[in-house]
Amino acid sequence: MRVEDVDIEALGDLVDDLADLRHDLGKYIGFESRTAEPGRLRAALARDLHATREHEGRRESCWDVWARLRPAALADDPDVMAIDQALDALRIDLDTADDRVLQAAKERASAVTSATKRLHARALAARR
Amino acid sequence: MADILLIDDQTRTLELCRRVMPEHEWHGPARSWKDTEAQLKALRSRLDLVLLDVHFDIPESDLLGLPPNPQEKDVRRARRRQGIEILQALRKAQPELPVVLMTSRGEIGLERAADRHEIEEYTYFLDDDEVDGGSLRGQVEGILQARRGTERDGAVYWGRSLTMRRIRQRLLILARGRLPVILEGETGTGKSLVARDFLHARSGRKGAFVSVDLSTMPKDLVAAHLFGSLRGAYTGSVSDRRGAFEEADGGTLFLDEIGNLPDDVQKMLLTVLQEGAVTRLGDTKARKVDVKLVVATNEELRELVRARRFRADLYMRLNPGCTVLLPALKDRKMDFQKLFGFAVEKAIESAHIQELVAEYGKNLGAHSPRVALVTGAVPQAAPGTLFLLLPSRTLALMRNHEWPGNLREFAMTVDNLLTISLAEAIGTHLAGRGRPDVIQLRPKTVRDLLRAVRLEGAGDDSGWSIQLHVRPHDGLNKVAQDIERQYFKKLYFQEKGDFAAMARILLGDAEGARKVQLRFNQLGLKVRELKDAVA
Repeated sequence: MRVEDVDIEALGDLVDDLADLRHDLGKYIGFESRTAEPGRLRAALARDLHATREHEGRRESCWDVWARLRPAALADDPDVMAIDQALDALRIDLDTADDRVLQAAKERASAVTSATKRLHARALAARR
Repeated sequence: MADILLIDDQTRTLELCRRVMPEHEWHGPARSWKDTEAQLKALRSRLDLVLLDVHFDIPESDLLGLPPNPQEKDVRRARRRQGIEILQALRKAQPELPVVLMTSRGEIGLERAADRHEIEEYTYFLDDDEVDGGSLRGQVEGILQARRGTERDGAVYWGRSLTMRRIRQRLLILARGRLPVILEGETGTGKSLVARDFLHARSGRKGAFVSVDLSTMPKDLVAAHLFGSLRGAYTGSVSDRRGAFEEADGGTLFLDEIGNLPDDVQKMLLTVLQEGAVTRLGDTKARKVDVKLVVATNEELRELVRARRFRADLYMRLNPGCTVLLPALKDRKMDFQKLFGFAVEKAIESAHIQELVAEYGKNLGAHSPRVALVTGAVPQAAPGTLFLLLPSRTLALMRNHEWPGNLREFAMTVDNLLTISLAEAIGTHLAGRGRPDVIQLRPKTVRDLLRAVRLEGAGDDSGWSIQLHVRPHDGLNKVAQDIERQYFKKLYFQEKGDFAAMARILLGDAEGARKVQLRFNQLGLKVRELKDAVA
């Protein structure tokens, strides 16, 4: 199901859930890497991907955040699928990745951010 | 360098901020409103800016804005918009502190909530749609830069409060216009400073700034002084003379204490304002003048009109709709520490303090050390730097004082504090005590300076008791004169400048007023200087 196909009564909760997704995943997955200088990109990605959120001292990776907030009912939505694919592609060994791979990872993280924003915006539009 | 508080449940933002903006002092993260309150208390008025997140994953017990018996849905909602709740609480505690809400305007609902709480003026959303080091730095620097630009103009310190920023904005507009400006405010609030260093300076006018204090001028001479006179126009007028209006042609004329303007001169001033021309006393020829008129008073002109002490038609001509009230120092608590720093900066520029600094500098092996005011912990030594350490207790004493003489009294007290602290430090250092590059501005010194006059009936026949400061001089006559001067000055304030009342206390006879006034003058005391403080 796509966002636009969700029942109007369920949209209220969905908008809130997608706001959480936009914040917890979309905001923090590119938090440091988005503007990191080339020399810091590896460390910034490590932080963005593996310690995306903190919960009372416990760190949560981007995959864990996605597992927690992924809207299961929207499995067929193009933005949800885009996030699935981008997060899969982000399972790389950062220690051995060369500059090209790191740059590609940064772009994928940015794509996740964009997809979460789009999802939220589309849900808001559908609710209106 | 600015003091910035981060309110966020994540440490990541703070780490990022410290990395991309190491020049600022970062505080926090405060993870809840409770944490925020503690930080505000610790930092008092030091904060320049707050960065506030919106979503807070914190325990239910720490959440603000929960309904009674909350459901899981309520808790989630409160976490999602916790930043807005904290913002509301923050606005009650610090209404004018700028806050960057770390979310974009795109997050509809939050913006609407912010508008509903009327918090927009000091609340900034991130310009960028995504929060990162670049967007944060851009936003923070933009806000700090804009605020720095309006905090001071030369000798005028406006500060950061909304009231003062609005006053500055209003005066900026009035400076550029042709209409007169009325400045109201208690004595010592900086009316003449604002007239000269801001209104005239920002008016774009090329002519002179001419100031006339109507409280010190004999009534008979006011008209001639303002409008000029021809030779023989009055007794003692031995030559033709330009008046203040002509002197200020193309510039600004500042009439201080306009409430003292004699009634007949009020009528003449009205004519000048209506005609845009001035006629010297004894002359028939009107001379065109282009003058920006600024008038000041420590009384409400409107009240003077009601009491028939000021002409209503002149009042209306003075553009009463644009009256600007300068607040008393006691109402500028938010900026107090910055005002203190500003006053220290000004005092250090004066020759006598420079001399003391240079003298002390010899002990440090620096000819003319840089002087830095510091708060909190004793700083690490820096070559060629003399630190003035401001303990929180000293600042609290100053902050809690009423300051009836406002900025004038404040500046004098700061000047005295520096003079005494430096002079004492020179002696202490010679005795080989303490760290030589740090001079503490001690609470005791401030307490002594601020100690109010204590004139009380002694309850017996021994007269009045009064507290005076005994300072060493190079002769006993000078010591006695110093004490007598303090005594007269305190009596003058106590009796609100009434020499007859002073004579009653000193001589037991009000008829001795003239005698008291003569002695007052011999001691080098100036009524003019003390008059404002009394008012």
